[in-house]
Amino acid sequence: MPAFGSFSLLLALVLSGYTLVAGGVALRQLATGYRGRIAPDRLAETARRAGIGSFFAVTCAAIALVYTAFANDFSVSYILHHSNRALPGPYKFAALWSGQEGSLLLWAWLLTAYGFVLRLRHKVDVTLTAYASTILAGIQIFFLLLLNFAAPPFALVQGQAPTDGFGLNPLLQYPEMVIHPPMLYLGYVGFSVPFAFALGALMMRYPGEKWIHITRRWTMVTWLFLTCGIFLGAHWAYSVLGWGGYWGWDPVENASLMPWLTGTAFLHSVMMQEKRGMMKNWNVWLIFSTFLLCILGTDLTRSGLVSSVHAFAQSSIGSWFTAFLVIVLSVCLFTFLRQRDHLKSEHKLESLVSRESSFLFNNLVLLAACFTILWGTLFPIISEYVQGNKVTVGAPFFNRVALPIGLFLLFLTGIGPLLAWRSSSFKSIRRNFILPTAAIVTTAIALMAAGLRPWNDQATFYSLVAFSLGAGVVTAISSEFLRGAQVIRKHTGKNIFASMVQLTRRNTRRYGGYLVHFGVVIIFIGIAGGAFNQSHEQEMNNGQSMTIGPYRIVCQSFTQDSNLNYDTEFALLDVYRGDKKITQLAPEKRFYTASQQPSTMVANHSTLAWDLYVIYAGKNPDSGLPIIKVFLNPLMAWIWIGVVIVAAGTLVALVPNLSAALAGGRTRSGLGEGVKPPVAVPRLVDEPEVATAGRSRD
Amino acid sequence: MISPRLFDSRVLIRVSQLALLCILIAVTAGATDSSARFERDSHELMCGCGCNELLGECNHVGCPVSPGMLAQLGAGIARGDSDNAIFHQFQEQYGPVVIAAPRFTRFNHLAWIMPPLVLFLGIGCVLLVVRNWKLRTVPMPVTPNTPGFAATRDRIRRETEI
Repeated sequence: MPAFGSFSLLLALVLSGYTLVAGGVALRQLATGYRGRIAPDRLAETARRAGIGSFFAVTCAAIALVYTAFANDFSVSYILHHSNRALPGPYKFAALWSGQEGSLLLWAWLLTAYGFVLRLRHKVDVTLTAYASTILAGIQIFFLLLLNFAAPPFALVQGQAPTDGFGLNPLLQYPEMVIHPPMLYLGYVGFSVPFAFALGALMMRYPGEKWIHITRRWTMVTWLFLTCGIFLGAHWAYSVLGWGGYWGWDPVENASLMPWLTGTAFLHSVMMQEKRGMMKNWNVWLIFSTFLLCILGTDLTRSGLVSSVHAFAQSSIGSWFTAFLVIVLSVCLFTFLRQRDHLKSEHKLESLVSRESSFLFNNLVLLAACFTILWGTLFPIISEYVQGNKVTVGAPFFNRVALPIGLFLLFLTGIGPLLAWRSSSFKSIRRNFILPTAAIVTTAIALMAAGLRPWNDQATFYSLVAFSLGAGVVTAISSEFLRGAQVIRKHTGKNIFASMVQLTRRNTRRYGGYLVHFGVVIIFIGIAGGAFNQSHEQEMNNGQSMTIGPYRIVCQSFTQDSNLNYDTEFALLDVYRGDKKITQLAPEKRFYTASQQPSTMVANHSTLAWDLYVIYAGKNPDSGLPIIKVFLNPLMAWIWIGVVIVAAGTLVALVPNLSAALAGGRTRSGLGEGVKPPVAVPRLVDEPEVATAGRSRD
Repeated sequence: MISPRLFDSRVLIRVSQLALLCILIAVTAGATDSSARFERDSHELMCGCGCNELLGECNHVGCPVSPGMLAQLGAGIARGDSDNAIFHQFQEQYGPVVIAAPRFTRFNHLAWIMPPLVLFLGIGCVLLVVRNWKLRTVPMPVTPNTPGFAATRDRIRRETEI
């Protein structure tokens, strides 16, 4: 099986190489009008098919690695280091992405899978897809070179193969770790597709904004994956690392947040290009930056340049990523400089108080946040270079610098949708802003009356601002929904809820976007609750109790157990609220046999008001009693609920509008009228005309 | 009689002043009692065991370093040492990486200055770009007063009023 896997990877490299070369030659012939022995459209078709073939080859390699893990073939070095016989099945499967080589294989597989879908759907725009496919093939080649020569997942161990493996890192033996890395990688890798389309559109001087419509769904789905991946990682950290928090500003976490920020900026500013033909340079660079940040983040965290608690930190593939980064940046710069006259704005900004300028500021703040994180992540390296000593840039720095920027962003989330395109009159501003402003002021006053003292410390001040701004944004979003729903209700006689549903179906993109903003507010409220965290640590004998907030925790017993995979120590704790027992918690400390490493299993009782988060911190060696650490984390659940709302909003925005879906149906049945493809571009033959089903007006 | 416009600008100035005052209070105010100071300072230092966790959050079973560091911090606070003196002692003992965020010294100032500087420069650039665009924009011709336009606009306003 290892030989089969290695051969598959080599085959995938050859096929990707062919896709790049043949695709490049075909597109060159098409652009210059030169005809070789094979017609460019036929050459491009062979390139497309080779690209599809590369997906099957990488799939075979991935299956081979998973099979090797399940077959306990410890002659393969990767399996030896990331699996063992007693490892449960789902974690053997997860071993595919638990180490450097496996995760690179997952990356390559997802990349070819995205390429597979793109190449299958080539009829949406044959020429543009051919450009994107060729660019994607270039990216595939880089990862396949890594897998074949720098980090081969099927490398064999020297000498006799051991009878058992060293096991999977205990921190990764948690259900969320089975889905968090694939989600995150789906996000990282997915940005290759809009990047390839943007670069391809620029190379071929693609007229109009159709490439944006083609990539809109790709970008949104990718953004959704990255969002879910980031928050699954946060939830995993919260549940497994056992320090009571969910975000530690570790370089690996920062690496995932940076492309998310630029991707979010792109999703917003691309609307300016679609609706007003503005910010074309900006958008192209935003998507270039997003892809480059995905690579830079990977470079930083896998090269060992910055210290991280994550496993990949020390390896020799950093220089490969640096070289790739330089090549991609050079190609982007060269293409941009050659074709920049193609990116002239069709309109200019007419007023500072307009939807356009709110998008500009939103982009600015998102990029400032991205810069802050990049700066903080790189500052230790810069400091070492300049001062000769490395400094730590940890959570206190990021919390102080990034929090105000985040709150400014929350503020813009509220005001942006209330401004009109082109220009807003003073009268309309006053009309639209009076309710949200009243909500902000009322919430602030109510919270202070309820005992919140923002002058006591910064955290309380920031949380007050977050709650107040959140109330303002929710009011703004609700009033937008209500306004639209009222009109529908008047005209159709439906109830207000049905009217809201119809309103959303009429313009899914706009109202899905509002739902996403609502989810963001909920997440901010959850984060703001962190200002009021409480914690308590105590040694507990049987029958002893401790109190935190409204809860009383009584130790029923503490014991130990073992199975093939690990030994465990745990305590059984009854939780009372008043005199009523509400639940029993069992925090654990495990010690994994194969890897000889400990791991924490947090016990958590989560409600909308707060999480009762209990850790078994270990045993006092003198008394032999368990040390229990308890956190009371207010509003934690709101963060996860907010993420679900963000995901739901994104899914709503992905659904075609009611009218567009009907138009699409008519087109498919021959009643509608297709939109002509852009003119004056050399195109491949058999290119169909497509309807813009799913394109919304907002 | 105060005109509504003048009233709006006065209210705006008052609100801005109040917001500024709140920010100043929040920035300057700080916890003063020793337990809160211990909690705060333990989150300004890194655990010296190499776990990359803040000292106040290090949760390793039997961590050989954090209990000693926490005791040292507690002793410093009990002696009445200033934060600077305590952090200096830690820096001498564990090296500069023990401080969780760059201190305000020479080159490290840059770490704190750059993010807001970039944000404000960005805002300045955006304002400049908008101003240039506005100067270059040819005014759009006013829409002719088509029959029924004003009535439609009023109807829309009425229907969307909350």
